[in-house]
Amino acid sequence: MAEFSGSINTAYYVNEDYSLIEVVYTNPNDEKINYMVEVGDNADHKALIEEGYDLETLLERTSEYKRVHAGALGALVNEQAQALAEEMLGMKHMKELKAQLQIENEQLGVAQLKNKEKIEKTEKTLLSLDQDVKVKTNKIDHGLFDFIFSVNEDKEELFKFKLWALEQDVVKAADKKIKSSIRKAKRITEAMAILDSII
Amino acid sequence: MTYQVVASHRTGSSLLNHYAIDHNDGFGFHELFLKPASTEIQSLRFASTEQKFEFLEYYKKQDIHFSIKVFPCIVITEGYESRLLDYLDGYKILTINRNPFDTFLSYAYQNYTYWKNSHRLVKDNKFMEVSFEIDCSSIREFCDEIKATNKFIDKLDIHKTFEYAELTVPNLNKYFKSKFKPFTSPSGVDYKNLATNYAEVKEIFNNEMHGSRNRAYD
Repeated sequence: MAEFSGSINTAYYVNEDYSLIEVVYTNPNDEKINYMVEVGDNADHKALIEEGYDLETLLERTSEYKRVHAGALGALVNEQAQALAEEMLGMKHMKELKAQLQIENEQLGVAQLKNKEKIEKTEKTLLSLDQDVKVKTNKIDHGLFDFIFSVNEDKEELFKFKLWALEQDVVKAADKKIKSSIRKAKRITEAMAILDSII
Repeated sequence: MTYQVVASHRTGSSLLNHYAIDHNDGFGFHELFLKPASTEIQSLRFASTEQKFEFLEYYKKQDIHFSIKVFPCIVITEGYESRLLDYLDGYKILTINRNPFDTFLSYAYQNYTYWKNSHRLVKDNKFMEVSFEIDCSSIREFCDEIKATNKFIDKLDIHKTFEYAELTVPNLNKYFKSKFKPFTSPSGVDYKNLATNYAEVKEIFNNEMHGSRNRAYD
C-alpha cells in the first residue's frame, strides 16, 4: 500500500518516454500533493495499478491533462499576450500622442515665433508709418504756413484770398464793416484775422 | 455804393478811377479791358475779354463788386457792347467831359514822347515838357474812337459827369468824402505853346470831329 492509496485524484505521464507518472492525491490534511512514480517493477507503480491506473487509464488521463494544461497554458499565454499587447498598444498610443503633442507644441512654437516676428514687424511698420505721417504732416503744415507767409503781402494771392473770403456765407451774412475791412486788408493774415473774428 | 468810370483815354480817367477804387476799399482795376490789363493780378492781366467778363459777371452775382475803368471803344470793337451795358447796369457811372482836341493833344504828346510819362506823378515831378510837332495821321481814328465812346456813354444812366477842370484833389476829396492822396495829377502841359503846328492841327481836328469849321470847343 502506497501513501496515495485510496486518495488519488488523477495520475498521468509527465515525460515523452512514459517512464514517469505524476500522481495527484489529497492527503489527510486535505492538501493536494503531487507525487512522482517511476514506471517499472516497484511497489508504488504496483499500488497505482491496483488503484485502477493501468496503462490505458494513464494514457487517457495523460491526454486529458495535456488538453487541460494546454488550454490553461494557452489561456495564460493569451492573457499575458493580450496584456502585453495592451501595454504595447498603450505605449504606442502614448508615444503617438506624445509625438503628436510634440509636433503640435513645435508647430505652436513656430507659429508663436512667426506671430511674434509678424507682430514685431507690424509694430515696426506702424511706427515707421506713424513717423512718416508725422514728418509729412509737419512738412505739409510747414509748407502751408511758409506759403502763407511768403505770399502774405503778394497782391495776387491777397486778392484771391479776399475773393474767397467774401464768398463765404459767414462773410456774406456779416455787416458792411466786416466786408469793407476784408477788402481793405493789406495782408492775408490780416484778412484771416477779420474772418476769424466772425466765425 | 460802387462806382464805374467810363470815359475816353487822356481825360483824367486814371485820377478819377483812383478815387473810385479807393472808395470801394481798394477793390477795383484800372483799364481792365486793355491787353494786357492794367493790373498786378496776373490771372486777369492776360485773360481774354470773354474771361474778364465772366470774372466780373460771376462776382457781381455773388454781390462782390469792383470799381473799374472802362474805355468802351475797345470793348465795343470786340463785339461786347451789350454785355458791357449789362455789366454796368446797376452801378453808379462816372464819366468826364474834356475838350476832345485837348484830349487829342495829350495823346499826340504822349506818342511824341513815347509814353515815357503817361501821368504826372505828384511826388516825383520830372514830367517831360518839350516842344513837339503833332502827328496828324491818327486824327481820324482818334475822332472815331471819341465818337464811339460818347455814343456808348449816351446809352448809360450817368450818375455824374465831371468836367476835366473839376478833377482836382480838393474837389474829388469833397465828392468822395475822402482823404485820399492821389499819386498822379493832371499834367498841366501848355500844349498850345509847345506844339509847333498847333493851329493847323486844331483846324483839321475840329473839321474831323465836328464837321467843317466847328469851333464849339474854343
